[in-house]
Amino acid sequence: MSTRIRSPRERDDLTHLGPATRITESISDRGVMLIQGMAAEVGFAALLICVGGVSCMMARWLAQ
Amino acid sequence: MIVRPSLQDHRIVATYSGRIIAGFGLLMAIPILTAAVFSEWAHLVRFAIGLLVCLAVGLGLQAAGGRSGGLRKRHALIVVSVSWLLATALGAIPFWLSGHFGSFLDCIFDVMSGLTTTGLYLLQDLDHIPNSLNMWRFVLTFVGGQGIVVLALTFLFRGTSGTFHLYAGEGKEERLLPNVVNTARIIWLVSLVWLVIGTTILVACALALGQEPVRAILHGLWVFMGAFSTGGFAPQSYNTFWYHSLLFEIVCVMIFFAGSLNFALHWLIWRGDRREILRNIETRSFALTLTVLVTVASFGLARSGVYPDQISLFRKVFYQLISGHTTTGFGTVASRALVTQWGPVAMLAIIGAMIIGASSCSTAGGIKGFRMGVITKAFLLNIKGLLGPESAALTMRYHHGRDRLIDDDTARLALMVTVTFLTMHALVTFVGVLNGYPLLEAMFEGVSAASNTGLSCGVISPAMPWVMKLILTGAMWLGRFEFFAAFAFVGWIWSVIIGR
Repeated sequence: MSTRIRSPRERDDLTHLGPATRITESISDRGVMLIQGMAAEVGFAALLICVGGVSCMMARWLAQ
Repeated sequence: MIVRPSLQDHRIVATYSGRIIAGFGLLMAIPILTAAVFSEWAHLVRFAIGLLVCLAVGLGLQAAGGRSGGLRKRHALIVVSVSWLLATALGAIPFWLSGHFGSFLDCIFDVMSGLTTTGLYLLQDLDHIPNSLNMWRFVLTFVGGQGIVVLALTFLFRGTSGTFHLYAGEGKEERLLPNVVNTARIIWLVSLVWLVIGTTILVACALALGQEPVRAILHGLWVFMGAFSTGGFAPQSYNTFWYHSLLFEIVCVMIFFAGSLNFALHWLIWRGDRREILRNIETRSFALTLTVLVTVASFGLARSGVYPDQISLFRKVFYQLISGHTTTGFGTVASRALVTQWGPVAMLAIIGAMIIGASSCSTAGGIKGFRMGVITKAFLLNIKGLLGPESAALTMRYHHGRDRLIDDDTARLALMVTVTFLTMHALVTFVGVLNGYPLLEAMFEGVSAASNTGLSCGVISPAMPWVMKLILTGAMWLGRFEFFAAFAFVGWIWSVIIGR
């Protein structure tokens, strides 16, 4: 089983594989993309926390 | 001349509304199952009564409507409004029978708050209610986040013409796929994937905090439902402050931020276009306004010296602000502390965050980042036009799935919805002041209800005047629909009365 993400064209073209392998490969590809997608969303939230932290620190410094 | 709707029009509305209500009633099977597992037999009977009434009303409406096809846009908007109003009234039956509410209006308030993902509540003795009743609160808020019509489209409608108008009438306009039924299914797919992963992480956190396994599972599931739907309901009256856990707060922020993202954005990112999250006008607008508002609130609180160290200041400010901005309503500060400790500057920053809200086509409320971004760009475009040569043809782009040009129609529609929201906020605030509440507190609660947020500074209570309960319930409904379906419903009633 490969963890490399296929292009949409490659993903659709799994006809040279057997049915069981084809389904497994397809699920694997989509699973990896899903995890990477969720990681991007969580990463953006983490970025917001970092930026928020810096701005909070600056505001506190300004207020003093 | 105003044309009175024909009998055929009413039958179409009855058929589709009946199907949605029957489907909504079936959701009560979840609290019934919960009641059976935890031997809450009296509540099992109450939910069974609620389920039977929903089925009777739903099937009765379908029988009255008969086989009537031809769903048009005006029917769809009325179907959405009628379904939501009926679902609110019928969903309140188990609440009313439970004896945990002071009046039926309080039950209506809580169901509307759940379905619109607001999170304000009038339920009494929250810390000691049965699991089945709590489960019903979270089912309402989770399903309401996706939309009861989206739920019906996913499971009950197959290729019916005019279904896009049903979908759009519930405040979601973007198609993720050409087929609207498949779009609804994608929305549920995204939500269910997050449900599995988010609940697992929250259960692990609850176990790490020392909760026993069954309680950890229930709390993990419920907090996830409250967070992802940007609902704000929590299983304890102290909300997420009850957990006293930084880890729990961080996980909640991740989940309700994900819930506040546009479902189309989720779909694009999950299909591999991960750069979209950095380029999209909604996420950029959100990041900018959140940073500005966190700075303002931090400045106000640092001046008053409420939090002595940097870490506790940031932890409190950021959590309340992002909760308000995503219109979630989770809090780690006691309600009255917002008035007595936070003061006007920080409260105004939260009000600003709640007014703006998060992404369109998400579970969140408010004006939405998309509209704020478009209005800002249209404003800048006009300034450029004033400063530039008269013959210059100026354009401005924004990115939302793909590059688009700012055009008059988009800017006008965004401005129209924004002005309507601001007018509603002003009216609800005015009603609060008329009822004797201080201006800032009336504004805070009014904006919280109308933007479907759920943060409270202590005004919302069962002792509140019934006029306020009614007005805030209406504001939640209007805010969730972004006015169109609700206005169409009022127009429909009006045309029945005076039409010819």
